[in-house]
Amino acid sequence: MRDCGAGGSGKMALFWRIWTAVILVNLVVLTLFVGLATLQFDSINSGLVGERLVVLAGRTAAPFQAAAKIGLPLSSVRNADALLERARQTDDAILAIHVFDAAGRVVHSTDTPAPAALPPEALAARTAAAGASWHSETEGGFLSGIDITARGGVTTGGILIVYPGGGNVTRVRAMGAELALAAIAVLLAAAGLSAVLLRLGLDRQIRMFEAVDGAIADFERGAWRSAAAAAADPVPADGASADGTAELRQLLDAAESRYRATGRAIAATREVGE
Amino acid sequence: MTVSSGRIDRDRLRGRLTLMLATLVTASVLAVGFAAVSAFNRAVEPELANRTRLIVTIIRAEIQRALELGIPIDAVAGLDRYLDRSLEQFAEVDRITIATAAGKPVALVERAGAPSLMAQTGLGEVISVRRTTFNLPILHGNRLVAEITVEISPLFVQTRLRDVFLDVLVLALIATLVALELALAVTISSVGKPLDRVFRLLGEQRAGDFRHRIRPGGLGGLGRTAARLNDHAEDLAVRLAAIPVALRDTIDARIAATRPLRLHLSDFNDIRLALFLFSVATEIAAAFLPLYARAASRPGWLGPDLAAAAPLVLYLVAVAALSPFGGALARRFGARRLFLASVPPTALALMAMGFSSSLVEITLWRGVMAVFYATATIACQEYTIRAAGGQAGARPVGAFIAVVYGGVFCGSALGGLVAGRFGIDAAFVTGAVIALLSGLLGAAAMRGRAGDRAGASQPETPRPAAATRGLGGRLVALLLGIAVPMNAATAIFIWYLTPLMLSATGSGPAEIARVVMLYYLSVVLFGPMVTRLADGRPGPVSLVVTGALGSGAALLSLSLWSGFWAVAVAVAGLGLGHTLIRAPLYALALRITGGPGPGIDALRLIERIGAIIGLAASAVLLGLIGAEASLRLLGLAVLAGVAVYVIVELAGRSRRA
Repeated sequence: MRDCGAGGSGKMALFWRIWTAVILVNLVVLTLFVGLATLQFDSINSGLVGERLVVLAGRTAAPFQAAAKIGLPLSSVRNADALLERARQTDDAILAIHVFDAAGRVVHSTDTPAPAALPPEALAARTAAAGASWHSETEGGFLSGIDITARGGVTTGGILIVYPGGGNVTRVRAMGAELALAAIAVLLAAAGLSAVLLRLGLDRQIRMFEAVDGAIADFERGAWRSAAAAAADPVPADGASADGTAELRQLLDAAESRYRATGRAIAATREVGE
Repeated sequence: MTVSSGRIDRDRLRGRLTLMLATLVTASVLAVGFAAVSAFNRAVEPELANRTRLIVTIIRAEIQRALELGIPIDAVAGLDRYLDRSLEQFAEVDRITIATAAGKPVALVERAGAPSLMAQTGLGEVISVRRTTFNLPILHGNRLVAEITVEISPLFVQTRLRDVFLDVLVLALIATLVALELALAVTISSVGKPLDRVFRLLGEQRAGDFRHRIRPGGLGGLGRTAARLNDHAEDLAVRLAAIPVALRDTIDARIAATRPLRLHLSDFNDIRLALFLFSVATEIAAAFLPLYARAASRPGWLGPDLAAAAPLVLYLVAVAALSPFGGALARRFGARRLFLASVPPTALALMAMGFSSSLVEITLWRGVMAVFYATATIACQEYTIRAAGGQAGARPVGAFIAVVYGGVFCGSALGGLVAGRFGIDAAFVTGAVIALLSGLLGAAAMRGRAGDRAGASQPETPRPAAATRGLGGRLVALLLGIAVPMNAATAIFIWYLTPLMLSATGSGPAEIARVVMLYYLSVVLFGPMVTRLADGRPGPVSLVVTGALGSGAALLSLSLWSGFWAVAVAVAGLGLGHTLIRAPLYALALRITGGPGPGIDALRLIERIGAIIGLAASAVLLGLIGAEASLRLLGLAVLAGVAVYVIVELAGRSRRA
C-alpha cells in the first residue's frame, strides 16, 4: 500500500477510521453485555440461595407452627435447639438460625450466646414482606425468614436464617472476569472479521479514494516537474483517465493553469504600473 | 467508476455498511451470549446441587416418617400431591420420581412444557446445557426400600437469561444503528465532503474565480489540494492588493479584495448524527411515559387514563403550537442557531421530568421539551430541504425521516432497557446527556450555509417560486385523509394504548419498549427502499394509499385476536404501513405546494392537531367503550380517510386529463 500523505494519512486511512469506529461501538456493546449479564448472574444466584433458604425456613418453622397453633409461646418449645441444629446441618455454610417472637426478640438460636433481637435489616425486610416469606441480601450476607402464625392468623414470631454473602460476591466477580475474558476474545476475533468485511465492503470507496489520491499525486508531480523545466503550465496527465479520474485531473490542470496565468497577468500589470 | 459523478454512492454504502455491521455486532453478542450461558450453567451447579439435596432430604424425611409408622412405601397416601408442591417450590426441577428398590415406580410428577428452541435446535448441546439427575436412597432400618430421583431442567439457566438476551439483542440493534451513523459520518467527513469542496473550488478557479477558500482538511491528497487551492486564492489576493486600484480591473479574473471568503457547503449529512442523537434523547421515555404519568400523584378529579394521556396531549399541543412558526423561526434565526438554542432546554426538561413526582410537573416539563423538540427538528428539516436545494422528490425528506425514526427507535428501546435495569431516573438522565452530546455534534457539523439565516447569505439554489402556493383541494384531502389519521393512530395506539395494553398483560418497561420499537424498526429497515420507490416507478400516491390501507388493517386486526402477540403484530403492521406513507407524504406535499413554506407548515400543524384530537378522544373513549372498540373506530377512520383521499386524487386526475 503506497503512502502518499504526510503525517501518516495514507490511502488506508479511511478504512482504519471506520474500523476504529466499528470496534469502539462493538467494545461498548460487549462491555454493556458483560455488565448486564453479571448483574443478572448476581440476581439468579442470590435468587437461588434465597429460594432454598425460604424453603428451609418453612420446614424449620413447621414444629414451632404446631406449638403456636395449640397456644404455646415459641420460647416454650423444649427441643428447639435440636430442631434448629438439624436444620443448620443441611448446609454447613449457614451462619445462624434464630427463632424470634412477635416483638422481634430472639427466643432460640444456634448462636451462643444468642443475640437479643433481630438485626434492623431483617426487621425492615420482614415488615416489607407483610406476612409472606421473605429474602434479603445485605452487606453481611443473606437473610431469609418466614412468619409463624397462631390460630386465627395472629403472628407469634418467625424463623430467620443467616447465610454468608461472601461466596456469592466471589462467584459474581469470577463470573464478571470470565465474561470479560470471553468478551475480549470475541472482540479480537470481531476486529479481524470486521477488517476483512470492511475491506471487502468498502472496496469501491477505497479504490475511489486511491484513484483520487493518485490523480492528485500525479498532478503534484507534474507541477514540480514543470517548475524544473520552467514550463508555463503543469505537465499534463499521463494515463490518469484509466481509473476514472480524468475529470479531476483536467480540473486540477485547468485550475493550476488559470492560477499561473492570472499570477503572470498581475505581475505584468504591476510592472506596467511601476 | 467515475470520481466526479456521485462521488460516494451513499445509498449503496449505507446498505453495505448496515449488512456488515449487523452481522458483526450480532455475531459478537451471540458469541459472548453462548459463553455466558455456558459459564452460568457451570457457576450455578453447586447451588443447584444444594437445592436438590434439600428437596430430596425433605422428601426422604417425610417418607421415612411414614415408613416408621409402618406404612408400606407403595401405600403412602397423597404422595403425588406432596411431590407436586415440591415441584412448585423449585423452578429448576423437571421431574421427581420415587421408585421401590425393585425399580417399580411409586410416584412420579413432572413439569409440563414444550421443548425450547434451544433444545429443538440442539444448541443446548453445543453450549453444554445438560440434564442433571440426583438420586438418594430411602432406608427403613438397614433395608433399602426405595430411591428418589430428581431431574434438573437443562434449560433453567436459559430461561433465566431470556430477558438479558432480549435486552442485548435490542442493544445490538441500537449499536448497529449507532455504528452505521458513525461509519457514514467518518466516510463522508473524511472523503465525501472534502472531495465535494475540492471539486467546487476547482470549478470556480478554472473559471477564473479566486474569491473563495474552503475548509482545509480531508485525507491524504485531498487535504493537500485544499491547502493548495486556498493558497492560490490567498496569494492572488495579496498580489492584487499590491497593484494600484485603477489597474486591478484589467485582470481577467475575479480575485478577493481582502482575504478570500470561506465557502460553507451544506449537505444533509451535516445534521445526520446530531439529529439522530437528539431523537434518541427525546424519545427516551416513549416506552414508559404513560405508566410513569399514571403512577405519579395527581389531582383527585383526574382519572388514571386521562392522567396517562396528559403528558402526550400537552406534548402534541406544544408541538402543534410551534409548527406554524417553526419554519419561519428557522428562516429568521438560522437552522443552526435554532437547533443549538433548543438543545440545553431539552436536556433540562428531560432531567426535570426524571425528578418530577407529580403529574403536573411531568406534564409541564414534557410540554417544555415538546416546544424545543419542535424547534430543533424543524430546524433540522429546514436545513435538509435547503441543503438539498432544488433536488425534488422524496429522497431528502426520506433521509431526514429515516434518521429521526432511527433515533426514535433507539431512544424508545434504550429508554425501556435503562428504565427496566436501572430505574426511570437513570433513563431520563441518560436522555439529557445524549441531548447535550447532540448539541456538541450539531455545533461542530451544522456549519453549512443551509444553517444560516435566510437572506444572510445567498441561497445555494433558488427556491421554486411555487413555494408560496396556498392550500388546494388535493393537499387538504392529503392532510385530512392521510396525515391526520396517520398521526392520530401513532399517538393513540403506539404512544398511549400500547404501553397500557401491554402493562395490563404483565409486561414491564423493557418488554413494552421492545414492542414499541417494532413500529420504528420498519422505518429504519424499509425507509430507504420506500424513498427509492417514491422517486421511482410506483410513485408516492400508490405508496401512500397502500400504506394507509395496511395501517387500517393492522389496527382492525386487534378485533380478531388479543394479547401480547396481537399487539406486537399490530404495532409492526402499523409501522410498516406508516413507513410506506411518511416520506412519500412529504414528497407529495412538497410537490403540491412547490417547496417549504406555508403549505409544509400547515402539514405539520394539521398532523399534530389530528393527533391531539385523536388522543383526547381515545382517553375519553377508553373509559366508555374500552381499548378494543377504540382501536376498531380508529381503524375505520383510517380506511375512511384513505377513501376520501383516493376520490379527490382521482377526481383531480380526471380534471387534469
